[in-house]
Amino acid sequence: MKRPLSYRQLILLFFKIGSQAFGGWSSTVFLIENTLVAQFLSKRDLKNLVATSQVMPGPNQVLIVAQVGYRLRGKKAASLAVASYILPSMILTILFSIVYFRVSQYTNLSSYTNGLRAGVSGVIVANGYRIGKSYIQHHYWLWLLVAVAVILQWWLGPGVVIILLVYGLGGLFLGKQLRKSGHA
Amino acid sequence: MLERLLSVMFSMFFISAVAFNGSGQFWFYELGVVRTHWLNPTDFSSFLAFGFATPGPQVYGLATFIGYHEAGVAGALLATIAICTIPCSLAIVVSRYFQKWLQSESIDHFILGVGVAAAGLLVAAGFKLLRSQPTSIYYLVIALGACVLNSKRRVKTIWIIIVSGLLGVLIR
Repeated sequence: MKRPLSYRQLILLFFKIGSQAFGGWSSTVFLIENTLVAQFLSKRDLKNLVATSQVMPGPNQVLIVAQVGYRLRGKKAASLAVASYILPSMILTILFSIVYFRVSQYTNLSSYTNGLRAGVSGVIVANGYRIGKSYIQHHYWLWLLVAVAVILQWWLGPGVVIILLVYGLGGLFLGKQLRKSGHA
Repeated sequence: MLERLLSVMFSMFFISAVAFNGSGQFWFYELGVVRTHWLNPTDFSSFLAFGFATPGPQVYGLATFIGYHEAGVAGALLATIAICTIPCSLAIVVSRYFQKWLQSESIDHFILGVGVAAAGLLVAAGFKLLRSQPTSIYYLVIALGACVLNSKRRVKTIWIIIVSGLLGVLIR
C-alpha cells in the first residue's frame, strides 16, 4: 500500500467523485474502485463496506464514502470525504433553491407542475415496488404485509417507526423459526 | 429563526436515523409535507426531481431546500450537515467495532422485515403525492406510465420526470 493520501488529495478526489455520482450508489462504488482500490483499499474491504451500508439508515453512497474516508485516514478524513462528496450537489441545490424561492413568490407553480407531481409519484411507487421485490423475491405472501404497511401508516404518521420496528423484529423472529425448522 | 433552525435540524436527525432501505422519500414527504408545512407537494416534487438530475443522493436536496426555506443559506448548510451526521457516524462506528454482529444472519432477517415495511411506506408516499393532485385521468395515466417505466429500470428516471413535467404543462 502506498503512503496515505493527503487531505487535499482526498478532498479533490471525493469532490470529483461527487460530481459524477449519477444514477444510484453503484456508480459511486465503481468510481471508488477505479481510483482507490488496489492502491489504498482492498476490493474485499470495499465489498464489506457496501454490505454494511445496506443495513444502515441513510443513502448507501454517502455511507460508503464515509467508511472509505475513515479507512483511509480516520474520522477527519471521513468528514472531509463526505463533505466534498456532497458539496457539488449541495451547491447546485442551494442555487436552485434561491431561484425557485424567487419564482414561486411571483407565480403559482402548482398549476405548471401537475404533470411533474404525477410523474414523481409514479417513480416513488416504482421505487417501493423495486425495493419490495428485491427483499421479497419469491415469498409472495409478504406483499400482503406491504399492503398492511401502506394502510397502517395512514394513521400512524411519524409513529410509523413502530411499524419499522415490528416488521424488523418480525423478520428476525421468522428467520429464527425457519432456521430451527431447518429451512434457513 | 433559531427555533426554526433547530426544529429543522432535529427533524433531519430523526429522518436520517429512521430512513432504512431507501424509505427517505417517504419520511421527507411525511415530515416535510404532511406533518409540518415546510414543503407543499409542488416543492417536494420539484426538489426530488432536481435530486434525480444532480449527482449524489436524491433526497439530500430536500434537506437542503427545507433548511433554506426556514433559515436561509445557513439553514441549507446546517440541514444538509444534519442529514448526514447520524448515518455516517453510525456506519463508521458499526463497521469498526461491530463486525461480528454485521455478519450475523439475524441482521439480514431484520433488514428484510424493515425492507418490506419500507416498500409499503414508499408506495404510500407515492399515493399521497398523487392524491394531492387535481383529479384527472391524464395525471393518473402519467403516474401509471411513470411507475411502469421506472419499475423495469429501462428508462432513466430523469427522462421520465422531464417528460411527465412537459406533458403536464401541455395538458394545462
